[in-house]
Amino acid sequence: MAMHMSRTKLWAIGGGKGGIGKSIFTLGLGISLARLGKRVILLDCDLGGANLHTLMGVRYPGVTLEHFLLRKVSRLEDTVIPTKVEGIGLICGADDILGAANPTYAQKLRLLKQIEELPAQFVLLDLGAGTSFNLLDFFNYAPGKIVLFTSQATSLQNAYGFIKSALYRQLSREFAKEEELIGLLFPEGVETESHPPAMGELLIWLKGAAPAQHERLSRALWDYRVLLVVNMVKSRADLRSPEIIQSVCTDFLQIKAECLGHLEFDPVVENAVNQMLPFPLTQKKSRAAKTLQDLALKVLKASRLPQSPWVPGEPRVADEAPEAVPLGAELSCNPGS
Amino acid sequence: MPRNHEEEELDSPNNLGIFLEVERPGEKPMELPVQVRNFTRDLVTLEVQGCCGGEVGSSLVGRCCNLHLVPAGSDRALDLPAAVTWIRDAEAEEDHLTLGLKLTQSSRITERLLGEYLAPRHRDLQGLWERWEQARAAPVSEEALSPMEHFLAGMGLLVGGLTLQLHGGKALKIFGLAWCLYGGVVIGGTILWHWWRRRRDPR
Repeated sequence: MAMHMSRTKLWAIGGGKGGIGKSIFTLGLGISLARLGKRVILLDCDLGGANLHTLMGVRYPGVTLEHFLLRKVSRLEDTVIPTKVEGIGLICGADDILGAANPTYAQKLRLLKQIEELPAQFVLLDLGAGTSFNLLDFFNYAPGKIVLFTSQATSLQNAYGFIKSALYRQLSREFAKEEELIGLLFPEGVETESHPPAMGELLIWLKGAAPAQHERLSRALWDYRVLLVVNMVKSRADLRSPEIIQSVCTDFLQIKAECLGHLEFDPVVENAVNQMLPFPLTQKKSRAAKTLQDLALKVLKASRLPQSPWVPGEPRVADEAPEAVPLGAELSCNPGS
Repeated sequence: MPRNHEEEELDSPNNLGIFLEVERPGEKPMELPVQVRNFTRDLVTLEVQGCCGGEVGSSLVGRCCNLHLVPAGSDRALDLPAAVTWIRDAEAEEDHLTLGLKLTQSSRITERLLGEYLAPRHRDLQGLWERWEQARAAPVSEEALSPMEHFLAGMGLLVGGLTLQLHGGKALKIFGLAWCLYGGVVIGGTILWHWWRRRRDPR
């Protein structure tokens, strides 16, 4: 599971909540990357509720992920369908078969292995809503992690819940063989709906009691990074939402969430969806298309940048219990970003 | 080793000096031991165990009360005036009920105090909502002028220009004309922009 590509080619777009524009964002980002001359494959991982192909104007896909999962097609590459957008291939999600929404471990492993071999410079995974283990595994497998949300209270809550679930899922995998640490992270069991202890407290305790485990956990938390994108921004106040998520992630999960940018609410997107037209193509001069182009450049840059190395003894952990810090006057995702 | 939630809940302020004092006309106020289960701004949900149920419980609705608590690190008790708005009996246990309060006054300080009585497993969500409230309360600086400000600026230029045109000297009339033209363009542009925005997004 931890075999990541040397360069960030694989990007997963999640967010927990449904209806916040994950598929539209994935499509828009893909088209914007293709416009920059990159070969892109969009993979609809919303197993059970796939509709990325509909947004691309494909009503009846000839081949889908179902064919790969049921071994009707041996290579994932063969499920890529060409689209009208040059440089973009699409793998349609499977939503027609019973059980496709819950692939077996073997099916999932085969799928993840072949995702790496796809002939593209960028592979974008469009994840569905919720926090199922399958979905979290896809998210965690991707070195590039984007969490999309809107400024609505429910979306913020789901975005944080999604990040938290994904982090703890990752830790449960990474430390699967370390029974003691797993016992501390999941006092009520890994597979149960548990309430893990506060990460900050755990790190402080481990620092004194088990320095080696403290170091491994600190490193795992350091390596776990997510990029935040706020969608459907309608006012400057909405731009404060990533700051909320960033602050909670730092204080309670001890991980770094960075703001990639934001997308303004644009009615042309809704119109394009209803006409089954990829909006960055039909509305090239729209605000949304322009902002997506900027975000694509940021993703391109982020995919090339190596992650800053972890320095032992410099955990992100606070020495005291976290408190709500005043939100700064500076906005993390200001309109110019 | 970090303690689990059950241990933390036993030691948490939940069990330290919090009770609800319900006023009863002509009688001594009723004191109920409570636990904070939820709160949002001026609404608080409390759980009462081992005290009363059934008819006594339902008779509390609408009563004035005081939520009595001791802030962490202080020996002085604090009373939050409130009213009981609803009561639910637990089906399984007769002496176990949940009740809703509406606080007479609420503030960030009150919310923080109540947060101290919440179960530890909700701390991160509490942090999220605190930050959300903060973000909503903080003023947003607008970089650009609003359409109304643009409109007023244009009107100012127009009126100023007209004044110069009518009462100014010969040299000033040129400025007056320029101001009038500029003001007219600003007003026209603002109206057109506003109209176009409304056409694009009627909401």
